[in-house]
Amino acid sequence: MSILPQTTATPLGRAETVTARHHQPLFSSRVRAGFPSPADDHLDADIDLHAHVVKRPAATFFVRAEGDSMQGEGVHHGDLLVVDRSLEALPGRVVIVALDGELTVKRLERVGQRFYLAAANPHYRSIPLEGREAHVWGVVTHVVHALPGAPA
Amino acid sequence: MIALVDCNNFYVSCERVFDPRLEGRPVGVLSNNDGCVIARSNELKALGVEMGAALHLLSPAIRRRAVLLSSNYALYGDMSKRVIQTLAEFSPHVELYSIDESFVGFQGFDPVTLEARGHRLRQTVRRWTGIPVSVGLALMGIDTVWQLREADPKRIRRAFSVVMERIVWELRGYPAITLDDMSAPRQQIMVSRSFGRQTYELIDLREAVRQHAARAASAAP
Repeated sequence: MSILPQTTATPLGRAETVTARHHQPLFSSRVRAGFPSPADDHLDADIDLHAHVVKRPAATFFVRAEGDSMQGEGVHHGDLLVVDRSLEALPGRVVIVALDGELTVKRLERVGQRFYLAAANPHYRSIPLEGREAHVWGVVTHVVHALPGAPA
Repeated sequence: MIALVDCNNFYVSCERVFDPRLEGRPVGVLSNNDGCVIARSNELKALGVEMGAALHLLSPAIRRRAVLLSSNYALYGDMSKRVIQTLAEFSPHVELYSIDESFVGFQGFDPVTLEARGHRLRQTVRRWTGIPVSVGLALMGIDTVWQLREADPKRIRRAFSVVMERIVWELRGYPAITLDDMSAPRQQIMVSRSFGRQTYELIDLREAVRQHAARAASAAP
């Protein structure tokens, strides 16, 4: 079993609403987990990573995930999440929910007329929303996860 | 038609967005140095805490019940910017009036749709930013500059501000707005802080006066 009971979300100061542009060249090849083609590495367009993940600056916040209950969705302890509050919380989406006074990361699920907060880790049970005070804080759109060797 | 959009208990609402535990509780935000209460949730207002109340004068019972937070102006500035950006989705004419109040111009919009627009605006700001706002639409029936000129200056001052009242006087031909820009020397410089707790020592006072006098002198043009 895990040390942390749920995956919680901690808001990170401010998500910049207006930023300096940071363009990086986009290579037209998709990254294949096999053999890369050297012919693919020509420049196609510039990509601004911030603009790529922040579609609605006024409603977008960055939060830090803590805990391992959402591993199955690719949300690991310490990851940075991009949250868009303007999006609708539909079943299947990963959401930040204010539950018992805490911001928690979960996947919204619907069975018949009932809604559940599902974890993406077999060690955790789904939480039925019926009769509980909970409200959706925002919809998680992207996860920034550092791989081994990434500078801190 | 111009709408006045006013963020409810703005600093407290900003803090609540990021800490759901503050919902439904008496919450106050304190001035620099935690001297006095400068924003109150409705629950704190209901406890009889006045705007500007000094922290050290609050009763122990209230200090136990209430959550009193130091101010975080970087956060409030960011949230204010987000509210403005959201308002800009509703009209090209958005005028920031103060950190928590804005004017939104609805000139040229069908008046029949305005009430629904106001409701949608309120819901959208709440959802996107988490900030509850009030929208004042029927601004005393003033749609034109002429109507503003004819309005009662005292009522205008109560409803808006002394600045708006001066505009009424200007429109009537009486100079009321002075150009007190860089050409006029500053008449006073204020550096003020409250003590964090009650002080009985003259030496503490002396040190504080010395320090603030030095800061005021360095702020002089």
